[in-house]
Formats: sequence, structure tokens, C-alpha cells
Amino acid sequence: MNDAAAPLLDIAGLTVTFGTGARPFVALDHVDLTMQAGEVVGCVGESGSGKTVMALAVMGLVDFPGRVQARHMRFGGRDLLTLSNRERRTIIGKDIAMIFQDPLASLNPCYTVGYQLSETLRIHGTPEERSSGRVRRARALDLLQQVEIPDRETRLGAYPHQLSGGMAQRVMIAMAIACRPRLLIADEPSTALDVTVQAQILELLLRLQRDQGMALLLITHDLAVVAETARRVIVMYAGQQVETGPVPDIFEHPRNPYTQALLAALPEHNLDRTRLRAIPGIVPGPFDRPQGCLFTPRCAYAVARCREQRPELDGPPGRQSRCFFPLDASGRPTNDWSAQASDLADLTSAPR
Amino acid sequence: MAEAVELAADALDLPPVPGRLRETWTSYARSRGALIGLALVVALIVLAIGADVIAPHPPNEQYRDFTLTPPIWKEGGTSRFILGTDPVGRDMLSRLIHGTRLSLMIGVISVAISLSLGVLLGLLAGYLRGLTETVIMRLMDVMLALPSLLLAIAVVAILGPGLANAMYAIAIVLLPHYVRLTRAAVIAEAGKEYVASSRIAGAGSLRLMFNTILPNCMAPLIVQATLGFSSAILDAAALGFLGLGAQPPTPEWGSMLASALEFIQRAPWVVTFPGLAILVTVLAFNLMGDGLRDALDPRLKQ
Amino acid sequence: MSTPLLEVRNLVRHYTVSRGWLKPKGVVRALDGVSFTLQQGATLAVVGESGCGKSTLARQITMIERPTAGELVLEGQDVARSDRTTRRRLRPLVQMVFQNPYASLNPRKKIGTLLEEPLAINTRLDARGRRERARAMMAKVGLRDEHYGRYPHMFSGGQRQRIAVARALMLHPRLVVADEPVSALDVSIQAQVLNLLMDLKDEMGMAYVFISHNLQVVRHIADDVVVMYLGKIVEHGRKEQIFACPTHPYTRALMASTPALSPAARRERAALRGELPSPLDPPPGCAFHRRCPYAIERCGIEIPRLRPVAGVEVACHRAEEVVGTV
Repeated sequence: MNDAAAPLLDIAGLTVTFGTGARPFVALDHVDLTMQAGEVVGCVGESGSGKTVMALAVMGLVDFPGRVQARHMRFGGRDLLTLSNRERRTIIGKDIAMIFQDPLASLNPCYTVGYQLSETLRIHGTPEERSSGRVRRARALDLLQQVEIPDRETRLGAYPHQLSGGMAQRVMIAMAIACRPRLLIADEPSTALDVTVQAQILELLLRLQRDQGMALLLITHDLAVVAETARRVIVMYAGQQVETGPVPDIFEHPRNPYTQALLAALPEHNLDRTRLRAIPGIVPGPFDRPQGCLFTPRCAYAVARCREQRPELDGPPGRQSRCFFPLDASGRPTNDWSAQASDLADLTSAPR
Repeated sequence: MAEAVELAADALDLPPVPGRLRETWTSYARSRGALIGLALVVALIVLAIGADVIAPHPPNEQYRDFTLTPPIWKEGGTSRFILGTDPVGRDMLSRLIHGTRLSLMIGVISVAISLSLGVLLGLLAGYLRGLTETVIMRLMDVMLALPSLLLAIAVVAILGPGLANAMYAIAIVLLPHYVRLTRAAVIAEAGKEYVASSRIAGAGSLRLMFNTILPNCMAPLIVQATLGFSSAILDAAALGFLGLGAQPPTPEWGSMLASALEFIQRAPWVVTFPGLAILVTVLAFNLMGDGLRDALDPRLKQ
Repeated sequence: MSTPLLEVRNLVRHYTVSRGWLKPKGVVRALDGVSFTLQQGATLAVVGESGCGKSTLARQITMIERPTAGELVLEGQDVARSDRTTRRRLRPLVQMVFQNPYASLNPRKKIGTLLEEPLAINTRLDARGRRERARAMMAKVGLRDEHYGRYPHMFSGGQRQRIAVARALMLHPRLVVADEPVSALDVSIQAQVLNLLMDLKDEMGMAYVFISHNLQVVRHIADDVVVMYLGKIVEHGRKEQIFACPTHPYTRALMASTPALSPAARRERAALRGELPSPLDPPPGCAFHRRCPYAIERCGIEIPRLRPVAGVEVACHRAEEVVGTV
């Protein structure tokens, strides 16, 4: 909502389709995203929600047969869609960096940690970093210190398979921040890690974000992680953005039935019950997308209009919901639906 | 009831996913080379089965008046012997067609023997590990250390020349490849959770080996078997050429080559056509094998 | 109370690891003296991070491996010492659900065959009998009849997990070991599968050993909780006790590290430093002492034993002080 400063990342109508032919698969359907410099935004969704595809589209990593289209996609004022490959390479990896879910799969097993860190510096670093091996080594050690890896000299010569998951993820983070990016995209950075290591990595990311003033886009399926780290959240479902809003408001007063149902399914919101409030059904696959709103088969409040038409994102800027009948402040639907199951009836009270 | 809603909605209609066979066929058919290979193989099989009907003359009948007749498009050729005749007057075309039957038979039998024995040894080595594995694999290493043709010659020398013994020799030569392949596949699969799941369900070693693990190892084996066909045919031709395989007057392509060498200047067709037949057959099976590998390799999918 | 279903006493499992030609072999103490009791129909949660030994424990209980030492008493029989025939006879009592729904079903078998396999191995039912039992179980877990002839790759993760649960229950086991059964599933599907597991437990009365690193899930489903670290149990007690007042510093660290949605539920975060020590070379004394904020000199010398403190069993020299500082 900061219209004084131009946003760092400005995406409108991002659509990614796969495959040619009569019915290409729409992995991402007109997603909007703006981020200011230094902001932490969380992107939440389950499998099939398109959150990873979005990150890859921003990075320009979507290959044929995927097609990326958008009304506009700008980073720091530059149009990402019309970049040539060479121009893209000056931005990706330098100003926009990304870390992935499985660190051991993302590091090249044939080269040492030091070599891979140097590689980033050699390509994207300052002129001295690009030319002098000594400067690169010193910087690599400095980076390892920033990500709190002990025994730095030894680790510099280690191979990825000699590192634990947490260490490898720290190395990935070091590689990502090596060139002082303005935006860091973290795709499920801690999902594959143990919970104590997860806490360490998230804390590290937040500290680096504060120290370096970079924007952080945190993509995860874990609502609690987002609740603790992000300022703003986008909720995604089956390739569409279904709700956006600030933390903690979006979790305390969700406007979209999917967000509400997702929160209600968490064990921590079912402490008083023996059975969890599960969402019936599964995410629609490429072949069984409903004609109307994508959540209709699973939505407790669906009526005829929901089954026939697809809703658009609606609402005040920064607090939008994709629903014809967004929930009111106390979590009640604003249409006349009949309770389909006793289980879902008490969703009307806001989740505690 | 909440549960009914939950479960009924969850069991949504599964999308119409094509069956495994159709999926494999679609992947396979994408490659033109693979389709050509398949077409050729089918043609060869038809020739082999219908040799008695298709061939214009009996393969061993000697026409004394027509020795070394050139093919129909050369001067002196006749429509009676489209591809000409060999030094003792036998029709080339008929001999080639009957040779197809022989070559395919050699391929099938050698590969069948080799594959069954190889899979068994590979399963034992990969599942039991330890001493069994060491003994089997070192034996295979010894066999691999010898050049394949020399090994085949050695086996035939022990057993005596003849088509049957040539097939056993070829089977032995192909054996180590199947053993290593099976062993590698078994080791890769044996650590997976579905195997542990069957073990917990009570499956004994035999069931685990043949019923649980083996079906998951078939893809690379099928490819290797198809490629083994062409190896077998080549080896049989080589043995025949050396006089150690099929004995005259059997119309085996390799022995046909051998007996016609001296005529390479005077009557090149006697040498060329058997050579071409070998070439086309080996090419067909290789194309088919490559196509199968691309179609069955899960990593290349999508 | 009747005889417990499962009694584990001082269970030990070591693996020898070669460290190179000339170096002596290393020993990984994956399980280093674990004891607990499980009653019929109860749910015991095993909590811990990677390397704590929970998967090894699962392999011992399901009789895939034999323990190096200790006793594993199943319905009165010590299976650690018994011969193959006894173990085979007792197999139907203990079944397992695995973590990865994409790897735990044989990709070359149809669902019907997979469900019938345990029956084919362990019972004398004819083909029709097996098919009927398989169909009945499919209905119980929410699958439809026409799924019977399909292959696993046609199903989603949640559906595959349902199939895995159905397969585990075909022999009506008394004990089901669930190794992170919902960790690989989406949140909305997790809830479905957890509900299914609990409903089936109510209906069929089996006990669960529920292995998970997700404390929120554990809080929902468990009766008793065991916390493991580097092959040993560090805390053991009723769920309500442990969540209300975690006693062992490692348990406290686990709870504090678990992100929580509502600010009220968040515990004070003192991020745990360091990493899990290598199981080949565990530290002397308490395995946790190098990372522990409460460690004193004694912790680096003497291995603490499990002892009752404040209603739970805990292995910590300073448990009383830890409880005092809430």
C-alpha cells in the first residue's frame, strides 16, 4: 500500500501454462505480487498451488513447454519479461537470488563448497572479486561466518555430501547472499530439515534480511512459519491467489473459506476435539478443474453461483479475497448456505 | 455424516490416466527410428514364420544349370532367381528367407537361455549379497575378461561345431551382461520401502525376490534383451563364418558369407546379400531396443 | 490391567561401519538402551529428530532386524531371542505404515493385489475370500470399488497413504507402527489421514507406535510420549504432562523451536546452538550436554539415567532446576 516508494518487485497478471494443444495446463492463473524493498512476504499453499512455479517464473527458470505471460513483471523498474538472456543473467543470481528446498540436491556434488562459492563471486561479484582468487577466498570465509558455519577453513574444502542438511542449507544461503541481492526467494528453505535446525535457519534468514536490507519472499506450506516470520501473506490454491493480507490479521480473521478451512485443519486449532476438522476432497488436478470456483467441491459454503462462475480477487488493496461471498469479521459466510455437515458448522467461529 | 462427506468427496473420479501399455506405446511411437525398427522386426518375423510359403524355391535345392546366375537387374539375370544363385546353384532369395528363420531362432533361444540364467544369478547376487555375490560376480568378471568371440570359439571348440552348440556358446557370452544388470537393479530396489513393506507382511526370501523385486527390474532387462538379439545374430554369423556354427548346407547367413568369399570379385552378389541381411536385421533390433529404452526410462519421461 | 502388548527392555542396536581399510571399524549406537511399555489399544508417540534412533526402533519392533541386545516382548514372547518360526508366526501382530506414500507401494502391483498379499502369505483364504476382505477394507478407508484394479501411480499422496493403511490392517494387527505417516502430506490431507487413523483405532482397537517430529500432530494423537536423542530416551510421560511442563532441556528446545500460529502459544525462543553430534563419536556423559543451556561439569562426565521427576521420567542431572525455571 506504499505508493510513495516504487515497489521493488511489481508483478501483475502472471500466468504460466504448460503444454500446447487444445487445453494447456494452467499452473499459475493471473497472480499479482508487489514487494517493497526490505519487506518479508510469505507465500502459502499446498502442493499444486503453484507457489514454486511462481518463484521459477520470476527467476526466468520456466522452460519449454512452459509459457510465462504477465501484464507486467518488473524488478527495480526493469521489465523482466523482455530481457535478453544476457541481461537476465546480470540480474538473476545477483540482484534476485533463490534458495531451494533440498540443499543436498541443489549443490553440485562434484565440487567443493569453496569452489561453488567462488563460482558465484567469479560471475556476479565486484571487479576485484571477479579477478582475484585471494579476494574471493577471503569473501567466501566471510560469508561462511555470516551464516554461522563453524570450522570455516575446513568446511571450505568440504564436499556437499560431507555436510549435514542444516550445514548444506547454510552454504546455499551463503551462495545466495554472496552478491548482496535485493530480493531473496526462499522456496521451502527449512521443510527438509529437523525442527531445531529449521528454527536456526529461519532465524538466520531473518537476521540476514534485517542486516542487508533485502526483501524476502518466503514460500512454504507451513502456516506457522509464515505467521512467525512474514509481514504479509499470500494464500494460493490450485494456481490461483485466493487471499492476501497482513499477519496476524489474515490468520485471525480469514476472509476466504479456503484459508479458514486450512487454519481449521491444523492440529493446534483442534485441541478441544478428538477429530480434526479436515477439508474433504483433494486439490483438483489438471483434468478435473471445476467450471466455477476451484474450491467449490470442498467448500462448506458453496452455492449455485460458486459452481458456475469463477470469482475474481476482490477487496481493498492489501486485503483481498477470491470469493463471491467473503467471510465477515467473525468468520461467518455472507451467503445463505445450508450446513452440509455438523463437523463444518462450527467453522463459523473464528479459529482460536 | 461428516465422515461420509469427507470420504465420498475424496474418492473423486480419478482422471482418465492411460494404462501402462498405452503410455509406453505413446512414448515409443514418438521416435521415428523406433517405429522403423519395429516395422522391420515385424517384417522379419513374418518372413521367418512364413518362410516355407514365401520363398520361391526350397533353400537347399541345387539347380546345376544355373550356378552363379546374377540378380535380375544385371545382365544374365532371370526372374526365376530374383537375387541370383550361389556357386552350387541354390536360389539366394530363398536361402536368405530361410536364413531369417534360423537367425531369429538363434536370437530367441540364445537370449532366452542367457536371460533366464542371468536373471536368476543376478537376483541371487543382488539379494543375498555376501559370499554368494562375490563368487557369482567374480565368475562373471572372468567371463568378461575374455573377448566375446574368443570365448564363444572356446566353448564351441569344447562342445563341437554345430548350430545348437553355437547357441549355447552365445548364451554363455551374453550371460555376464544380464547378471550385472539384474544385480544392479536388484540392489537399487531392495532398499526401497515397498520391499520392507512386503517383508513386514511376511513375505519370505523367494517371494521377495521373484514376486516383489523382479517385476520392478524388468525395464532395463527388456531393453538389454532386445539389444542382445542383435549381438546374438552377429555372433552366430561370426561363428558360422568360421565354420564353427551352422554347418553346410544350412542356409545361415554367416556360413553363406564364408563359403562365398572367393567369389567376391566374380560374383559379388553371393557375398553382398547375406551381409546386407545381417546388417538390416541387427539395425532393426538396435533401433527397436533404443526406442524401448527411451520409452521405458522413467527419468526421460515428461 | 492385562499384560502389556509390547514391552521393550534395554533395547540396543549397533551397526558396525567400516571407516577405511586401515582404520578400526566404527560403531554406530543407533539404539542405546531403550525401555518402555505399551498397553493394548494405547498410542505411544516417539518424538525426535534425525539420528535419534526412531527409525531403528521401528525396524526392531516390526522384526525386520534383530536387536543387538535387550528384550522385545510381544504379547509375552521375547522376539529378540526367538527363532525364525516364532517370529514368522508373530508377524501378523505387528504391521507398519511408512512415511513416503510414493515409495511404500509396489509400483508394479495393482491395489487389489497389494491388499491381498498379506492374506495370501499368512492365511488360507481362497481368491474370493481374499478379494472380499480386500474390498471391505478399501471401503473402510474410503476407497471405491473401482480402485481395486488400478496401479499406485494413479493415486494422490493422501490416497496412497490410505491404501498403505488399509494394507497394514489386512491382518488385523494388534500393533501398528506408523513412521511419520503424515509428514509427506499436505496439511488438509494430513487431517484426513489422522482422522482415519484415529477412527480405525477406535473401531479395531489396535495400539499405535506413532513416530513423528511434528509436535502439534503428536499432541493431538498421542496418549504417551517418548522423546529420543541419539539412541536414548531422554523423557517419557503422559502427553498432557509433557506438553504442560516439558522437563528435559532437549524437549524444551524442541517445543520452543516449533513455530506456532498464534503469538500466545509461542514459547520463549532460545534457539538451540550447534548440531547433532555424530553417532559414531558421541560426546562423553550426556549426549546433549554440549548444546544444553543448563549443562554443568557433571553432565560431561556421567551419563544421566531415566528417573521420575515431576510426574514424568527424565534423563537429566538437573531436571529439578529445569522444572523450577518455567
